[in-house]
Formats: sequence, C-alpha cells, structure tokens
Amino acid sequence: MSVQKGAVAFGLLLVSAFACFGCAGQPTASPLHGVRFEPPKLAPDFTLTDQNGNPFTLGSTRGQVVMLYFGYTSCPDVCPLTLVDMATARKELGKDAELVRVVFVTVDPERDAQAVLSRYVPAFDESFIGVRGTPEEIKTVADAYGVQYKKTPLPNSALGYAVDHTAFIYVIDRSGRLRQVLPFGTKRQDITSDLRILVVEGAES
Amino acid sequence: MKVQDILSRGLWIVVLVAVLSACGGAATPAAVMPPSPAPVGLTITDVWARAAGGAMNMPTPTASADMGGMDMAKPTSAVYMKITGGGMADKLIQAESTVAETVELHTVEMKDGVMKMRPVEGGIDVPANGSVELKPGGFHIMLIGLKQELRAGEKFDVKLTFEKAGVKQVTVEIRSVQQ
Ligand SMILES: [Cu+2]
Repeated sequence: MSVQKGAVAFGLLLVSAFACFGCAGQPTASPLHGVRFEPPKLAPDFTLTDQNGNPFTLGSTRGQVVMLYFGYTSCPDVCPLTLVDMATARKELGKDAELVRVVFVTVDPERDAQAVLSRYVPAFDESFIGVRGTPEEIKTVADAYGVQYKKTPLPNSALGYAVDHTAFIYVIDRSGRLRQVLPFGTKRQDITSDLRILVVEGAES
Repeated sequence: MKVQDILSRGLWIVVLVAVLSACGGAATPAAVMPPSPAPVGLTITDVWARAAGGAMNMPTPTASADMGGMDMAKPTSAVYMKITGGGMADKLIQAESTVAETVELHTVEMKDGVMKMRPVEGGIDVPANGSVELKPGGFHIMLIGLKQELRAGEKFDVKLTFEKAGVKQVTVEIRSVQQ
C-alpha cells in the first residue's frame, strides 16, 4: 500500500476551509458547489482491498470522476443518505454515469469485513466500490485525505462502539486531481451539476 | 441534543404558563377542577424506516479472520417518526421490534463536519402540545442486527413505551431512500 507523503497537510487545509465556510472571503465564483482545493492537487493514491477481495488502486480510475467517501456500515443515516445521493446523482448523468466512480472506504475495517461490504455497498449502486484494509492501512489513507475518525466506546449500546467520522465527499477529477470536498447535506442536484461539469471537462493527458 | 433539550424545556414552560394563565383567567366552572388541559393523546405520524438488507444475506460467521470472523458488523437500519405531544409533556423511553436483535434510541450530532452517533440517555422528550421529530441526522430508533430484510413498500411493527402514555404500537413503512 502506498500513499503520497506530505499529504497530511490536506487535513489542515480542510479544517481551515471549513472554518471559513460561510464567511465572506470565498474565492472567485466557481460553478462547483463544494469547498475547493486551490490549486487542485493530485489525489493521494492508495491501494486497498475491494468487496470482492481484489486489490483496488485509486490511480486505476484515472479518466473517470471519483467521489471518495469515508464511512462505516453501522452508520444510521448520514452514510446511507450520502451513498444514496451519490447513486442518484450518478444515475442522472445517463450514459455518462460510466465516467463516474464512487469509492466507499470503511473507517471500521475490523467490523466491516469483506462480506459486509459486499452486501452493503453494491446495494446502493452496483458500480460502487467498497474498500477496506488493516486498521493501519486505513489510517494512512484517511490521514492523507485529512479524514478524522475515532472509535468511541458505547458501553450502553449493543453496537459496542461508534466510529465518529467526518462526513465529506471528496471529488476527484478525470486527471486524478482533488478538486473539492462536498459537506454532508449538499443537495443532490448540486452534486449532479458538479459531476456534469467535471465529466465534460475531460482529462488532461 | 442540547438545543432540543432547551427548546423542549422552553416549550414546556411556555405551555405551563399558558395552562396556568388559562386556569387563572377565564376559568369556567367546569375547567376549575384539576389543571388537566384537553386530554388529547399523543399522536405519532409519518413512521418510516430505511430499507436495508437482513442477516440472511450474510455468510455464516464461520469465515476466516480476514472475512471478519465473529465481530462482523450487523445489518442495521433506523426508524423515524413525528411524535406530537398531548396536554402533558412525555418521554419516549423504549422501543421494541421483532425485526431486529436489539432496538435502541439514538441521536446523531454533526459538529465541524464530524458525525457522532450516541445512545440517548433517559429517553426522547415529547413536549406538551408540541412535537419532536425523529429524522435522519437527528434522533432515531436504531435497529441493530436485522433478522430480516427490510424491503421498500413492506411494513413492520414497533412497540413504543412512553413514560406517561404507556405502550403504543405503530406500523412502520419501509422506504427506499432512493427518490
Ligand atoms: Cu443509531
């Protein structure tokens, strides 16, 4: 498994981007709806294992728009709703849907076994990819994207523990560059509109 | 949810004040007796759950360590509804259903983009003459370890226990959130 070094700075960047969310100093208007990476930079590459047990390398999706999401299957509604939003937005693209990939990285790899992912992820859209790895591998990837997550024991729940996590969609363009982050609650039509823009933009060779 | 607590407490006070002043003011002889306002019961509406796969779609937990072994995540779903209080403030303290191994009252908080799910301590307050909504991103009744698949369009029952109103049975409509 390999992850670009130095990408941890993304975390800080994101936090500051969100601190500024809603404040006046937004950079020049863009048709994209999320918090943008300016300038866009190469999305940290990684290889994890998909729901069928095969290695999945993010870099293999070059040429497609990728929506990358970190969550866990015991999540009550924030994760499933986001997955549904992404599935719906993708379908609205018609035949261009094949240029959009959705990758769900579990931040609960201990419980989200391969069998769990294979039941859960494709149920939203058959094309969706669910990936997992060892806790260390997941941590490395999450850190590279500035994803915060934490196992919190729930002694009074049959769940045993919850995984508190940031609920953002990372949007990667067809050239493999991280373009923006969509916060939870972004409207479906806005996701669709952003995907259309990024699909039409094409890929830089 | 602190805001909700404050809100429901605030509402409760408003209602209390309203009830007291109604009693003190234009009290008709019939209304003088106990300060029990119109005994309109609690109403529960818009009860639904998210469609989800059941345990039967899962392989038997004899799998290798790499497959997750015994500690695999169990299939879950959540039930939502709107509960409108009657004349008295009440509290939803328990929920039961045969579709899941365990049923718990939970809440979700979003803070700085971080999603946290927690069991609700002490129940979900239902304000008098007001309402509380169980909805995505907030309160929910969590179904842990689904024993059956929850298919969109089908229904199942949930038994709710309220501190004052007692037990209420409601029918839950399973919805695909794919709309
Ligand atoms: Cu829950």
